[in-house]
Amino acid sequence: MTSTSPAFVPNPTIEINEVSKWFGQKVAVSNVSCSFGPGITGLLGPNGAGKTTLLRMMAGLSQPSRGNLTVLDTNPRRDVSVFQRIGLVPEDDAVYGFLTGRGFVEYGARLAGVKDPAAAAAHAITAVGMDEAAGRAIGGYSKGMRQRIKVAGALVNDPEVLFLDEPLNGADPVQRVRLIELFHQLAREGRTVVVSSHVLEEVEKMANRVIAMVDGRLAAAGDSAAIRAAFTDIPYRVRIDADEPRKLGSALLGRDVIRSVEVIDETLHVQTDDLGDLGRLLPSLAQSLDIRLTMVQPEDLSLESVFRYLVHGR
Amino acid sequence: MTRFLAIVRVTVYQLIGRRRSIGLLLLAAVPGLILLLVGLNEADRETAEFFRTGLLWLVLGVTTPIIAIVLGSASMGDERAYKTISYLALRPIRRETIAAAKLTAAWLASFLVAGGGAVLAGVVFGVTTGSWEETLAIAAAAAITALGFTAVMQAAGYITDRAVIIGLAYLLIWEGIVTSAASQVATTSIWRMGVSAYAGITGEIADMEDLLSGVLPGAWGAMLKVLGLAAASVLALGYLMRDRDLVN
Repeated sequence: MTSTSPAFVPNPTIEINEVSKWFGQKVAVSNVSCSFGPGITGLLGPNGAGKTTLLRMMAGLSQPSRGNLTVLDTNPRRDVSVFQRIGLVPEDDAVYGFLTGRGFVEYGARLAGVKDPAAAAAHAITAVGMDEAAGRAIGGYSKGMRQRIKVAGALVNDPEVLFLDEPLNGADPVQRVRLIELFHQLAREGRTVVVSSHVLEEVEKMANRVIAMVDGRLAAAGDSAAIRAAFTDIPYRVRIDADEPRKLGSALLGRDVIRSVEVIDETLHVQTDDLGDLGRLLPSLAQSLDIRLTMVQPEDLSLESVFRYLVHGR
Repeated sequence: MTRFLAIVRVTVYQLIGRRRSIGLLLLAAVPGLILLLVGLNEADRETAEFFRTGLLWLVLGVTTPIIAIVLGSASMGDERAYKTISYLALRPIRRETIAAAKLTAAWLASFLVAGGGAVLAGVVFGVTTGSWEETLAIAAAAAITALGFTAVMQAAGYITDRAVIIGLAYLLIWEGIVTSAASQVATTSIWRMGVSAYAGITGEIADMEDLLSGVLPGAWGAMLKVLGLAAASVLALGYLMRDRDLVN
């Protein structure tokens, strides 16, 4: 893979070079090369795809079996000083239940060597909207509250690089919106935010770039439209709402740009190899046939569709 | 508060705040209760003899090692088992500093529990016989024994979640059987380092030859040995944290 590949970004903060990780006979990550830079990047894949393993290697929790990676030009397994500039929200529901929320975040601040741990903790707790519950023991928190206090714990040292493993687990819809806005804010501030998730909707809302993994390998990279465009052998599906769908469908049949035409519940669905050509053809054809178009919408540009192609190949 | 002290404080809470502490506290109290029964039924001389033989073995050879094995294994084992290790390890702190802080905490927690039991036994002895000098000696011996076992078990707790079973097997087979049968290796016995310290402090050696198994009495020598174990433990755990994955 070359540096012009969508798997790589200019001015990267995280560089992964031919990294593999295996546990005994099981290969969890296989020969992955890519890079991450400022902004939010979604690490996407089904359960068991290797995204958590890759995230853990980036965060310094485990080391590659082969290959190398650097975070902020440092190997996190060799130089612990880089942890001053990194934050991690782990997937596991792992918290010190006997500590209060404030005590937990302050503990993290002290370990990170923050100058004023109490002030930094208060700031991080406010950022995740946990002020009221901060004095209570974490053991009594709901899952969503634990998730938010974990995020506060990761933010307390003001990290340049933030790793989030399934960060919205357990959060209710209001909390989700708030956390997503917080992550966007961090990205706008120029931080590198890597979000691992198997919930496509979440990734789509958060990330403007996606690294997709399937079976431990890097399957695709870029935004969802770019990844979709790479599937040249799979035609695009387009929904067309018109006042005379059958007439329009008949007119489209036989055109080079059209692979198939189908009318379902008075809605026209076509398959095409080239969205651009179809976009140019449709208005003139509709005008010549005196057909009114009310909606033209690609049906498989969403991350969900892209993901389905990646995992199932269809 | 320094990073070192912050880790010590949270770890002590982590170790003694769990339900297992109730069982360990009850275990630590057993020798004192037995001594109370002996003291109520025997003359002072027999009570003193029992204290320097059976009770010392019970405190330094059984209860303190078991408590230190459980808490020493848990100091890093809990972080891995409850998956909180990322909060501890992904920080700009030298691995050896983390290891030293965790060992200090495990030792303090073990001493709070096991040493409490030892002091209770010393107090019972003082009340029943009127002699109080044994109290300090048994507390110091328990502290030395606890440090030795926590040092050995800390790295084991990081490597395997069966560390307690392995530790108990080690206590039974090596410390209990092998070093009792072969006096050539008795100097490697951790609990006898505690006995050696006790004998060195009190100067009472006559009743304790069986327990010592040829190990020379001396508090300073015993202390140096366990400090050596502690240093080796810190270096070993520091190496393991760098060399092995922090999560499975």
